[in-house]
Amino acid sequence: MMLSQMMSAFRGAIPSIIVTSGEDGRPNVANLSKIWLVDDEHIAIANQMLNKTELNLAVRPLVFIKTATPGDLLHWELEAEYIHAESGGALFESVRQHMDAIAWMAGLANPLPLRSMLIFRVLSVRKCSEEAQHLAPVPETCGDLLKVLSETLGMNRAAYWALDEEDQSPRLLASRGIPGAEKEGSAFASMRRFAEWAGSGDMPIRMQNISSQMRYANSSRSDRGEWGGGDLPNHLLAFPVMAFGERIGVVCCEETGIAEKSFDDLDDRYLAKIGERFRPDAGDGSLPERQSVHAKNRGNAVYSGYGLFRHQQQVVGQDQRYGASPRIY
Amino acid sequence: MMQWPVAFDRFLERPVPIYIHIAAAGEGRPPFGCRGYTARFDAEGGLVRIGILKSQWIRLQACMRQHTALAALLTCGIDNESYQVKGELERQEDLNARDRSFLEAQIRLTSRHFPDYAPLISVNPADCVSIGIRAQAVYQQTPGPDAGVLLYEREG
Repeated sequence: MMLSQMMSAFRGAIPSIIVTSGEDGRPNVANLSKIWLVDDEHIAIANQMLNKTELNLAVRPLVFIKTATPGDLLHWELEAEYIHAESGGALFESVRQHMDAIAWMAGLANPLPLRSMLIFRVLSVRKCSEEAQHLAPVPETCGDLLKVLSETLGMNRAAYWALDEEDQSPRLLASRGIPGAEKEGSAFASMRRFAEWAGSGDMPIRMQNISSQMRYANSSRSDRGEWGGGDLPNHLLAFPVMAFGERIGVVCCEETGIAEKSFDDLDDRYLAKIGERFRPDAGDGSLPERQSVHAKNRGNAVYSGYGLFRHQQQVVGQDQRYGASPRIY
Repeated sequence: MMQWPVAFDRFLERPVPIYIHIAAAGEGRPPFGCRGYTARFDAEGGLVRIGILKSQWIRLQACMRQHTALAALLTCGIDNESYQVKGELERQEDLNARDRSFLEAQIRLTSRHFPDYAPLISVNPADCVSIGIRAQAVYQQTPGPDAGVLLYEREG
Protein backbone atom coordinates (compact mmCIF):
# COMPACT_ATOMS: atom_id res chain seq x y z
CA MET A 1 0.00 0.00 0.00
CA MET A 2 1.43 3.37 -0.98
CA LEU A 3 1.36 6.20 1.52
CA SER A 4 -0.77 9.15 0.52
CA GLN A 5 2.07 11.45 1.64
CA MET A 6 4.33 10.25 -1.16
CA MET A 7 1.93 10.43 -4.11
CA SER A 8 3.50 13.64 -5.41
CA ALA A 9 6.76 11.73 -5.92
CA PHE A 10 5.14 10.07 -8.93
CA ARG A 11 4.72 13.38 -10.74
CA GLY A 12 8.36 13.28 -11.77
CA ALA A 13 9.36 16.68 -10.41
CA ILE A 14 12.54 15.32 -8.80
CA PRO A 15 14.58 12.61 -10.55
CA SER A 16 14.72 9.21 -8.89
CA ILE A 17 17.26 6.39 -8.93
CA ILE A 18 17.07 2.63 -9.19
CA VAL A 19 19.74 0.33 -7.74
CA THR A 20 20.07 -3.20 -9.07
CA SER A 21 22.78 -5.80 -8.60
CA GLY A 22 24.47 -8.29 -10.87
CA GLU A 23 25.23 -11.95 -10.39
CA ASP A 24 28.63 -11.02 -8.98
CA GLY A 25 27.01 -8.80 -6.33
CA ARG A 26 28.08 -5.58 -7.99
CA PRO A 27 25.53 -2.80 -7.62
CA ASN A 28 24.46 -0.55 -10.46
CA VAL A 29 22.76 2.83 -10.14
CA ALA A 30 20.63 4.42 -12.85
CA ASN A 31 18.81 7.72 -12.97
CA LEU A 32 15.08 7.74 -13.59
CA SER A 33 13.24 10.80 -14.78
CA LYS A 34 9.93 9.47 -13.59
CA ILE A 35 8.28 6.52 -11.84
CA TRP A 36 4.76 5.53 -12.86
CA LEU A 37 2.28 4.41 -10.27
CA VAL A 38 0.40 1.42 -11.71
CA ASP A 39 -1.80 0.58 -8.75
CA ASP A 40 -1.59 0.43 -4.98
CA GLU A 41 1.09 -2.27 -5.06
CA HIS A 42 2.83 -1.85 -8.40
CA ILE A 43 5.03 0.74 -10.05
CA ALA A 44 6.66 0.96 -13.47
CA ILE A 45 9.68 2.60 -15.02
CA ALA A 46 10.35 3.41 -18.63
CA ASN A 47 13.16 1.46 -20.25
CA GLN A 48 14.74 3.54 -22.97
CA MET A 49 18.38 2.66 -22.42
CA LEU A 50 18.54 0.83 -19.10
CA ASN A 51 20.91 -1.79 -20.49
CA LYS A 52 22.71 -2.78 -17.31
CA THR A 53 19.58 -2.50 -15.20
CA GLU A 54 17.76 -4.84 -17.56
CA LEU A 55 20.61 -7.38 -17.47
CA ASN A 56 20.70 -7.29 -13.69
CA LEU A 57 16.95 -7.71 -13.33
CA ALA A 58 17.17 -10.96 -15.25
CA VAL A 59 19.38 -12.49 -12.55
CA ARG A 60 18.43 -10.54 -9.43
CA PRO A 61 14.90 -9.14 -9.36
CA LEU A 62 15.11 -7.31 -6.02
CA VAL A 63 15.70 -3.59 -6.45
CA PHE A 64 15.97 -0.42 -4.42
CA ILE A 65 14.27 2.71 -5.73
CA LYS A 66 14.66 6.12 -4.22
CA THR A 67 12.40 9.00 -5.00
CA ALA A 68 11.43 12.30 -3.40
CA THR A 69 8.36 14.40 -2.84
CA PRO A 70 8.82 17.91 -4.24
CA GLY A 71 6.90 19.86 -1.61
CA ASP A 72 8.92 18.77 1.40
CA LEU A 73 11.96 17.23 -0.35
CA LEU A 74 11.54 14.06 1.70
CA HIS A 75 13.16 10.97 0.25
CA TRP A 76 11.26 7.72 -0.01
CA GLU A 77 12.87 4.31 -0.26
CA LEU A 78 11.02 1.59 -2.10
CA GLU A 79 12.16 -2.00 -2.05
CA ALA A 80 10.57 -3.81 -4.95
CA GLU A 81 10.62 -6.98 -6.96
CA TYR A 82 10.78 -7.00 -10.73
CA ILE A 83 7.76 -8.77 -12.22
CA HIS A 84 7.97 -8.43 -16.00
CA ALA A 85 8.41 -6.08 -18.95
CA GLU A 86 5.58 -4.81 -21.14
CA SER A 87 6.21 -3.65 -24.66
CA GLY A 88 2.58 -3.05 -25.53
CA GLY A 89 -0.73 -2.43 -23.85
CA ALA A 90 -2.40 0.57 -22.29
CA LEU A 91 0.40 1.58 -19.91
CA PHE A 92 3.09 1.26 -22.59
CA GLU A 93 1.09 3.29 -25.10
CA SER A 94 0.27 5.95 -22.56
CA VAL A 95 3.91 6.39 -21.56
CA ARG A 96 5.08 6.30 -25.19
CA GLN A 97 2.67 9.12 -26.05
CA HIS A 98 3.87 11.04 -23.01
CA MET A 99 7.50 10.66 -24.13
CA ASP A 100 6.69 11.59 -27.71
CA ALA A 101 5.07 14.76 -26.44
CA ILE A 102 8.12 15.58 -24.31
CA ALA A 103 10.45 14.93 -27.26
CA TRP A 104 8.31 17.08 -29.54
CA MET A 105 8.30 19.92 -27.00
CA ALA A 106 12.09 19.60 -26.67
CA GLY A 107 12.49 19.65 -30.45
CA LEU A 108 14.23 16.26 -30.58
CA ALA A 109 14.35 14.89 -34.11
CA ASN A 110 15.30 11.35 -33.12
CA PRO A 111 14.17 10.71 -29.57
CA LEU A 112 15.20 7.52 -27.83
CA PRO A 113 12.48 4.93 -28.39
CA LEU A 114 10.63 3.43 -25.46
CA ARG A 115 11.70 -0.21 -25.39
CA SER A 116 9.45 -1.41 -22.62
CA MET A 117 7.85 -0.62 -19.31
CA LEU A 118 9.44 -2.50 -16.41
CA ILE A 119 6.85 -3.49 -13.83
CA PHE A 120 7.68 -3.97 -10.15
CA ARG A 121 5.75 -5.14 -7.12
CA VAL A 122 6.47 -2.87 -4.16
CA LEU A 123 7.63 -4.78 -1.08
CA SER A 124 8.21 -1.92 1.29
CA VAL A 125 7.99 1.84 1.53
CA ARG A 126 10.13 3.77 3.96
CA LYS A 127 10.59 7.46 4.60
CA CYS A 128 14.32 8.13 4.55
CA SER A 129 14.50 10.01 7.83
CA GLU A 130 18.30 9.93 7.75
CA GLU A 131 18.44 12.30 4.80
CA ALA A 132 15.55 14.41 6.07
CA GLN A 133 16.91 15.54 9.41
CA HIS A 134 18.81 18.48 7.98
CA LEU A 135 15.70 19.65 6.14
CA ALA A 136 14.00 20.67 9.39
CA PRO A 137 15.41 23.32 11.71
CA VAL A 138 17.02 21.59 14.67
CA PRO A 139 14.92 23.30 17.36
CA GLU A 140 11.77 22.15 15.58
CA THR A 141 13.08 18.60 15.43
CA CYS A 142 14.00 18.67 19.11
CA GLY A 143 10.58 20.03 19.93
CA ASP A 144 9.02 17.07 18.15
CA LEU A 145 11.23 14.70 20.11
CA LEU A 146 10.29 16.34 23.42
CA LYS A 147 6.66 15.95 22.44
CA VAL A 148 7.26 12.22 22.02
CA LEU A 149 8.75 12.02 25.52
CA SER A 150 5.79 13.91 26.92
CA GLU A 151 3.16 11.80 25.19
CA THR A 152 4.70 8.46 25.96
CA LEU A 153 6.63 8.77 29.18
CA GLY A 154 4.76 11.66 30.77
CA MET A 155 7.81 13.94 30.82
CA ASN A 156 5.67 17.07 30.64
CA ARG A 157 8.33 19.57 31.63
CA ALA A 158 11.46 18.94 29.64
CA ALA A 159 14.18 20.67 27.66
CA TYR A 160 16.90 19.65 25.27
CA TRP A 161 20.30 21.26 25.69
CA ALA A 162 23.00 20.95 23.05
CA LEU A 163 26.53 20.75 24.42
CA ASP A 164 29.21 23.01 23.00
CA GLU A 165 31.91 21.04 21.19
CA GLU A 166 34.71 22.99 22.88
CA ASP A 167 33.73 23.55 26.49
CA GLN A 168 30.62 21.33 26.79
CA SER A 169 28.52 24.28 27.99
CA PRO A 170 24.79 23.67 27.46
CA ARG A 171 22.77 25.71 24.97
CA LEU A 172 18.98 25.53 25.11
CA LEU A 173 17.52 24.27 21.83
CA ALA A 174 13.97 23.32 22.73
CA SER A 175 11.70 23.12 25.73
CA ARG A 176 8.24 21.95 26.56
CA GLY A 177 6.00 22.76 29.51
CA ILE A 178 8.48 24.96 31.41
CA PRO A 179 6.50 27.70 33.23
CA GLY A 180 7.53 31.20 32.18
CA ALA A 181 9.65 29.92 29.29
CA GLU A 182 8.13 32.34 26.79
CA LYS A 183 8.70 35.39 28.98
CA GLU A 184 11.96 35.10 30.82
CA GLY A 185 15.24 33.31 30.40
CA SER A 186 15.52 32.94 34.17
CA ALA A 187 12.85 30.25 33.94
CA PHE A 188 15.68 27.95 32.88
CA ALA A 189 18.26 29.11 35.40
CA SER A 190 18.15 26.11 37.68
CA MET A 191 17.70 23.68 34.79
CA ARG A 192 20.74 25.16 33.03
CA ARG A 193 22.83 24.42 36.10
CA PHE A 194 21.45 20.92 36.17
CA ALA A 195 22.23 20.51 32.46
CA GLU A 196 25.82 21.67 33.07
CA TRP A 197 26.18 19.05 35.75
CA ALA A 198 24.55 16.27 33.75
CA GLY A 199 26.49 17.21 30.63
CA SER A 200 29.77 16.41 32.31
CA GLY A 201 29.02 12.70 32.66
CA ASP A 202 27.73 9.79 30.67
CA MET A 203 25.15 8.52 33.16
CA PRO A 204 21.60 9.68 33.93
CA ILE A 205 21.27 11.83 37.02
CA ARG A 206 18.24 11.88 39.27
CA MET A 207 17.39 14.24 42.10
CA GLN A 208 14.31 13.40 44.10
CA ASN A 209 12.16 15.34 46.56
CA ILE A 210 14.37 18.40 46.41
CA SER A 211 11.85 21.28 46.47
CA SER A 212 11.85 21.72 50.23
CA GLN A 213 15.64 21.60 50.30
CA MET A 214 15.81 24.15 47.51
CA ARG A 215 13.41 26.45 49.38
CA TYR A 216 15.59 26.15 52.45
CA ALA A 217 18.71 26.91 50.44
CA ASN A 218 16.98 29.83 48.75
CA SER A 219 15.89 31.30 52.04
CA SER A 220 19.49 31.54 53.13
CA ARG A 221 20.58 33.35 49.96
CA SER A 222 21.27 37.04 49.89
CA ASP A 223 19.52 37.34 46.50
CA ARG A 224 16.46 35.35 47.52
CA GLY A 225 13.36 35.67 45.43
CA GLU A 226 15.10 34.92 42.14
CA TRP A 227 13.29 31.63 41.80
CA GLY A 228 9.93 33.28 41.89
CA GLY A 229 7.63 31.34 44.15
CA GLY A 230 6.34 27.89 44.75
CA ASP A 231 6.68 26.15 41.40
CA LEU A 232 10.04 24.64 42.15
CA PRO A 233 10.79 21.25 40.70
CA ASN A 234 10.56 18.42 43.16
CA HIS A 235 12.14 15.71 41.03
CA LEU A 236 14.78 16.16 38.36
CA LEU A 237 16.10 13.80 35.75
CA ALA A 238 18.80 14.34 33.16
CA PHE A 239 20.29 11.96 30.68
CA PRO A 240 22.93 12.45 27.99
CA VAL A 241 22.25 12.27 24.28
CA MET A 242 24.98 10.43 22.40
CA ALA A 243 26.00 10.47 18.73
CA PHE A 244 28.74 8.28 17.34
CA GLY A 245 30.17 7.70 20.81
CA GLU A 246 30.25 11.37 21.78
CA ARG A 247 28.05 13.29 24.20
CA ILE A 248 26.27 15.97 22.16
CA GLY A 249 23.38 17.02 24.38
CA VAL A 250 21.35 16.56 27.52
CA VAL A 251 17.65 16.05 28.06
CA CYS A 252 16.48 17.52 31.37
CA CYS A 253 13.07 16.78 32.82
CA GLU A 254 11.37 17.96 35.97
CA GLU A 255 8.28 17.22 38.02
CA THR A 256 6.82 19.50 40.66
CA GLY A 257 4.35 17.75 42.98
CA ILE A 258 5.28 15.57 45.91
CA ALA A 259 2.90 12.91 44.69
CA GLU A 260 4.22 13.03 41.14
CA LYS A 261 6.34 10.21 39.89
CA SER A 262 9.99 10.61 40.59
CA PHE A 263 11.43 9.10 37.40
CA ASP A 264 12.76 6.14 39.36
CA ASP A 265 10.74 3.72 37.26
CA LEU A 266 12.96 4.50 34.29
CA ASP A 267 15.86 2.10 34.09
CA ASP A 268 19.27 3.64 33.35
CA ARG A 269 19.76 1.31 30.43
CA TYR A 270 16.45 2.40 28.96
CA LEU A 271 17.43 6.05 29.30
CA ALA A 272 20.74 5.25 27.64
CA LYS A 273 18.86 3.74 24.72
CA ILE A 274 16.67 6.83 24.46
CA GLY A 275 19.82 8.95 24.54
CA GLU A 276 21.18 7.03 21.56
CA ARG A 277 17.94 7.41 19.60
CA PHE A 278 17.09 10.96 20.65
CA ARG A 279 19.71 12.82 18.72
CA PRO A 280 18.01 15.28 16.42
CA ASP A 281 20.26 14.65 13.42
CA ALA A 282 19.63 10.97 12.99
CA GLY A 283 16.55 9.88 14.86
CA ASP A 284 13.86 7.92 13.13
CA GLY A 285 11.07 9.28 15.28
CA SER A 286 10.99 6.18 17.41
CA LEU A 287 12.20 5.28 20.84
CA PRO A 288 12.98 1.86 22.27
CA GLU A 289 10.12 -0.05 23.75
CA ARG A 290 10.09 -0.71 27.44
CA GLN A 291 9.40 -4.22 28.56
CA SER A 292 7.85 -5.36 31.77
CA VAL A 293 9.21 -4.58 35.19
CA HIS A 294 9.68 -8.33 35.64
CA ALA A 295 12.04 -8.50 32.70
CA LYS A 296 13.92 -5.50 34.03
CA ASN A 297 14.21 -7.04 37.48
CA ARG A 298 15.50 -10.29 36.08
CA GLY A 299 18.28 -8.37 34.44
CA ASN A 300 17.29 -9.56 30.98
CA ALA A 301 17.78 -7.47 27.90
CA VAL A 302 14.87 -5.13 28.32
CA TYR A 303 14.85 -3.36 24.98
CA SER A 304 13.27 -4.94 22.02
CA GLY A 305 14.28 -2.33 19.48
CA TYR A 306 10.77 -1.91 18.12
CA GLY A 307 9.65 1.62 17.46
CA LEU A 308 7.28 2.62 20.22
CA PHE A 309 6.02 5.90 18.92
CA ARG A 310 4.09 6.05 15.75
CA HIS A 311 3.31 9.69 15.32
CA GLN A 312 5.63 9.80 12.33
CA GLN A 313 5.32 6.30 11.05
CA GLN A 314 3.25 3.19 10.84
CA VAL A 315 4.87 -0.12 11.56
CA VAL A 316 3.47 -3.22 10.01
CA GLY A 317 5.27 -6.27 11.26
CA GLN A 318 9.03 -5.90 11.58
CA ASP A 319 9.68 -9.37 10.28
CA GLN A 320 7.37 -9.27 7.27
CA ARG A 321 10.17 -8.08 5.07
CA TYR A 322 9.39 -9.71 1.79
CA GLY A 323 5.97 -11.13 2.35
CA ALA A 324 2.92 -10.61 0.25
CA SER A 325 2.04 -7.26 1.73
CA PRO A 326 4.21 -4.18 1.46
CA ARG A 327 5.83 -3.06 4.69
CA ILE A 328 5.15 0.50 5.72
CA TYR A 329 7.57 2.22 8.07
CA MET B 1 46.53 -0.37 -19.66
CA MET B 2 43.69 2.12 -19.68
CA GLN B 3 44.46 5.59 -18.42
CA TRP B 4 42.39 7.20 -15.72
CA PRO B 5 39.71 9.22 -17.56
CA VAL B 6 40.57 12.88 -17.60
CA ALA B 7 36.94 13.60 -18.45
CA PHE B 8 35.93 12.39 -15.00
CA ASP B 9 38.42 14.67 -13.27
CA ARG B 10 37.26 17.57 -15.40
CA PHE B 11 33.68 16.73 -14.55
CA LEU B 12 34.41 17.04 -10.82
CA GLU B 13 35.89 20.47 -11.47
CA ARG B 14 32.87 21.79 -13.35
CA PRO B 15 31.07 24.65 -11.60
CA VAL B 16 27.71 22.86 -11.74
CA PRO B 17 25.48 21.10 -9.22
CA ILE B 18 26.46 17.44 -9.16
CA TYR B 19 24.04 14.91 -7.75
CA ILE B 20 25.68 11.88 -6.22
CA HIS B 21 24.36 8.48 -5.20
CA ILE B 22 26.31 5.55 -3.81
CA ALA B 23 25.04 1.98 -3.63
CA ALA B 24 25.88 -1.47 -2.28
CA ALA B 25 24.26 -4.86 -2.69
CA GLY B 26 23.84 -7.79 -0.34
CA GLU B 27 22.71 -11.36 -0.87
CA GLY B 28 19.02 -12.25 -0.73
CA ARG B 29 17.87 -8.71 -0.13
CA PRO B 30 17.36 -5.60 -2.20
CA PRO B 31 20.40 -3.39 -2.73
CA PHE B 32 20.71 -0.09 -0.91
CA GLY B 33 21.60 3.40 -2.03
CA CYS B 34 22.00 6.77 -0.42
CA ARG B 35 22.80 10.32 -1.36
CA GLY B 36 26.37 11.54 -1.56
CA TYR B 37 27.37 15.11 -0.77
CA THR B 38 31.02 15.29 -1.75
CA ALA B 39 33.20 13.66 -4.41
CA ARG B 40 36.88 13.82 -5.25
CA PHE B 41 39.53 11.71 -6.89
CA ASP B 42 42.45 11.00 -4.63
CA ALA B 43 45.13 10.36 -7.26
CA GLU B 44 47.77 9.46 -4.70
CA GLY B 45 45.70 6.72 -3.15
CA GLY B 46 43.91 5.85 -6.38
CA LEU B 47 40.56 6.29 -4.70
CA VAL B 48 37.33 8.01 -5.57
CA ARG B 49 36.03 9.46 -2.33
CA ILE B 50 32.32 10.05 -1.74
CA GLY B 51 31.02 11.84 1.34
CA ILE B 52 27.81 10.47 2.84
CA LEU B 53 25.96 10.90 6.11
CA LYS B 54 27.34 8.81 8.98
CA SER B 55 23.84 7.56 9.63
CA GLN B 56 23.67 6.27 6.05
CA TRP B 57 27.15 4.75 6.31
CA ILE B 58 25.77 2.49 9.04
CA ARG B 59 23.02 1.33 6.69
CA LEU B 60 25.38 0.96 3.75
CA GLN B 61 27.67 -1.26 5.81
CA ALA B 62 24.75 -3.44 6.79
CA CYS B 63 24.23 -4.13 3.11
CA MET B 64 27.88 -5.04 2.53
CA ARG B 65 28.23 -8.16 4.63
CA GLN B 66 28.86 -10.44 1.65
CA HIS B 67 30.27 -7.99 -0.88
CA THR B 68 32.40 -4.89 -0.56
CA ALA B 69 31.52 -3.74 -4.07
CA LEU B 70 30.24 -0.19 -4.37
CA ALA B 71 28.87 1.90 -7.20
CA ALA B 72 28.68 5.67 -7.29
CA LEU B 73 26.68 7.60 -9.85
CA LEU B 74 27.51 11.26 -10.36
CA THR B 75 25.20 13.40 -12.48
CA CYS B 76 25.32 17.03 -13.45
CA GLY B 77 22.03 18.71 -12.59
CA ILE B 78 22.29 21.05 -15.58
CA ASP B 79 22.96 18.80 -18.57
CA ASN B 80 22.89 15.23 -17.17
CA GLU B 81 26.57 14.54 -17.86
CA SER B 82 26.99 11.37 -15.80
CA TYR B 83 29.66 8.90 -14.75
CA GLN B 84 29.41 5.71 -12.78
CA VAL B 85 32.36 4.50 -10.74
CA LYS B 86 32.46 0.86 -9.68
CA GLY B 87 34.95 -0.61 -7.28
CA GLU B 88 35.68 -1.93 -3.83
CA LEU B 89 35.37 -0.24 -0.48
CA GLU B 90 38.81 0.79 0.63
CA ARG B 91 38.49 2.78 3.83
CA GLN B 92 36.46 5.58 5.32
CA GLU B 93 37.62 8.73 7.06
CA ASP B 94 36.37 12.13 8.11
CA LEU B 95 35.83 14.76 5.44
CA ASN B 96 38.98 16.75 4.77
CA ALA B 97 39.39 20.35 3.67
CA ARG B 98 38.91 19.48 -0.02
CA ASP B 99 35.66 17.66 0.77
CA ARG B 100 34.39 20.58 2.81
CA SER B 101 35.29 22.96 0.04
CA PHE B 102 33.47 20.77 -2.52
CA LEU B 103 30.38 20.68 -0.29
CA GLU B 104 30.39 24.44 0.20
CA ALA B 105 30.71 24.95 -3.57
CA GLN B 106 27.88 22.51 -4.25
CA ILE B 107 25.56 24.24 -1.80
CA ARG B 108 26.40 27.56 -3.43
CA LEU B 109 25.91 26.23 -6.99
CA THR B 110 22.69 24.43 -6.16
CA SER B 111 21.37 27.55 -4.45
CA ARG B 112 22.06 29.46 -7.65
CA HIS B 113 20.67 26.97 -10.16
CA PHE B 114 18.04 25.08 -8.16
CA PRO B 115 17.38 27.09 -5.01
CA ASP B 116 14.46 24.90 -4.00
CA TYR B 117 16.75 21.87 -3.79
CA ALA B 118 19.58 23.46 -1.82
CA PRO B 119 18.26 22.13 1.51
CA LEU B 120 18.74 18.60 0.16
CA ILE B 121 22.50 18.90 0.24
CA SER B 122 22.94 21.42 3.04
CA VAL B 123 24.38 18.92 5.48
CA ASN B 124 26.85 19.52 8.26
CA PRO B 125 30.29 18.19 7.23
CA ALA B 126 30.71 16.87 10.77
CA ASP B 127 27.78 14.55 10.14
CA CYS B 128 29.46 13.00 7.10
CA VAL B 129 32.09 10.40 6.44
CA SER B 130 34.19 10.00 3.32
CA ILE B 131 33.98 6.56 1.73
CA GLY B 132 36.94 5.45 -0.35
CA ILE B 133 36.23 3.44 -3.50
CA ARG B 134 39.17 1.74 -5.19
CA ALA B 135 37.87 2.23 -8.70
CA GLN B 136 37.88 -0.85 -10.89
CA ALA B 137 35.83 0.68 -13.66
CA VAL B 138 34.43 4.02 -14.72
CA TYR B 139 31.56 4.19 -17.19
CA GLN B 140 30.15 7.12 -19.03
CA GLN B 141 26.47 7.34 -18.23
CA THR B 142 25.40 10.54 -19.93
CA PRO B 143 22.11 9.80 -21.73
CA GLY B 144 22.75 9.25 -25.40
CA PRO B 145 24.62 6.95 -27.74
CA ASP B 146 27.69 6.70 -25.48
CA ALA B 147 25.77 5.76 -22.34
CA GLY B 148 27.39 2.73 -20.77
CA VAL B 149 30.73 3.14 -22.54
CA LEU B 150 33.64 1.88 -20.44
CA LEU B 151 36.10 4.71 -19.87
CA TYR B 152 38.51 3.02 -17.49
CA GLU B 153 39.17 -0.45 -16.19
CA ARG B 154 41.86 -1.37 -13.71
CA GLU B 155 43.92 -4.39 -14.57
CA GLY B 156 44.33 -7.28 -12.21
